[in-house]
Amino acid sequence: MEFIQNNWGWILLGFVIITIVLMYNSLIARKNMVENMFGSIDALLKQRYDMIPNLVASVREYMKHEREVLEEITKLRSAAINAKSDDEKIDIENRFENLLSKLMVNIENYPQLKANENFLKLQEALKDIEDRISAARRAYNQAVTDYNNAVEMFPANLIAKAFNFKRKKVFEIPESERENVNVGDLFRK
Amino acid sequence: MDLFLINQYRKKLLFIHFFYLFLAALMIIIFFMGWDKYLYIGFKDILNVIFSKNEEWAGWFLIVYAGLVIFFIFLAFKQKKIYDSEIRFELCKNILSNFGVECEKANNSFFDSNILEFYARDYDDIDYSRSHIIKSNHFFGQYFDINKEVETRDSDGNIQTHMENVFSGYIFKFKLEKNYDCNISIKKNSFHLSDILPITYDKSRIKLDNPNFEKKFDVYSENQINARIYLNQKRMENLLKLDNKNPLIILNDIAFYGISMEPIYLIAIPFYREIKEKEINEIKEFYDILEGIYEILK
Repeated sequence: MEFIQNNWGWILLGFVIITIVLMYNSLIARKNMVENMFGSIDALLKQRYDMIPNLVASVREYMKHEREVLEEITKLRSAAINAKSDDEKIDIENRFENLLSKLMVNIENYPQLKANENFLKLQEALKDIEDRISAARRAYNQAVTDYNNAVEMFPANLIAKAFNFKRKKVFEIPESERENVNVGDLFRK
Repeated sequence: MDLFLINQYRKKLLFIHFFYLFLAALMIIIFFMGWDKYLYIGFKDILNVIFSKNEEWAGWFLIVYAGLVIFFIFLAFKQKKIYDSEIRFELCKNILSNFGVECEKANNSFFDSNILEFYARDYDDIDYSRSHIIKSNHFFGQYFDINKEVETRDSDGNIQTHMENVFSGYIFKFKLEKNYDCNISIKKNSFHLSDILPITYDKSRIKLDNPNFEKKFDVYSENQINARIYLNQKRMENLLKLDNKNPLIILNDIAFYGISMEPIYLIAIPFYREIKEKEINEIKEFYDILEGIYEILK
């Protein structure tokens, strides 16, 4: 007891330092989680972008009226592969996702396409990767929300400001996904 | 065993049960009538006649008499015990077989000890006296009474140990339609300091975008993506129907879920009368619940 009374200043300082260290480490862990999740999502998006040339080749013959959409998808794919920053990748992916959903809806107007075996295989693979991307996107957004909360919450925001931790951007969840409908479902309609 | 034979056996046990109870009751009545001074010949008088010269023998007679009463009561309730452990189970087994469910007694665990640890942490002993397995095409379950050794100190400061029950109920495993290639643990929601003060960060904790689900459960997995593939919006809504008292564990393509309860055969099947439609329905409900859980989890 006497020790505490004589050294309360040091004890308080020690407590503050430990709290700062814990908060800093927690911010770093959250930031790493965001990066880790972005790495996962990036790998999955790359897998999907690799499937796009095959998809376009399979449907081009049948979907002559959708030439503009197909060209736009091809352009966005190239842009996504060459994108430098994370924010740029997110923006492109948000646009790409909407365009792909639109294409999948339009496929309904081409019954011959649905009889094509190559296309069916591709559709299955695309559905699987879409599920994974959707889950990875939600995981990424949650990691970003956790990180952003920590960056803005008092007193962690003081540490965040001192060590230059900045807010991060989330992926937009496409309208179709909010309704719990994915590309696979659209194919089956 | 045939349902008719089971009922015959139940009636036989019930007859023996009541016969011994009747004998015990008769002896008690005779004893108290004997003390009644207004009766022509009292029990005391009989004792006096028989043992008038030896009071010690009279004492022994009373002890043997009381012992006999207790023995008859014991025999009566032994029939009930036989019914509880054999006949009730056979009846339940017979009824469940109509739904395509097999039921067998078990005297060893069909579950890995790591799984049991989720439901009875640091357990020391499993009592198999009531254990049995229930299996169908969709699920496999075993009933467990799991105990833990607990130390207590008496008034003299001596340490005494005794077994305390930590889990009584069924643990089920359900085969999922898909291998999710990850381990997921879904537990009862608890308070997390890190939500309001970011001083720690649990990488394995998965926060999901369903507020009701988040209020009821905490989810942990090392694989954020695969766990979220399993926990889609529809499944989360369905999982809300499950109790959060015991954890739900997903190991790749198998789901484990524990239900704390007494054995279904003890709950649903009576001893003193014939089984009614209501009791059969209770067993059917139990089976329907298990099928419902499978539909949610698969």
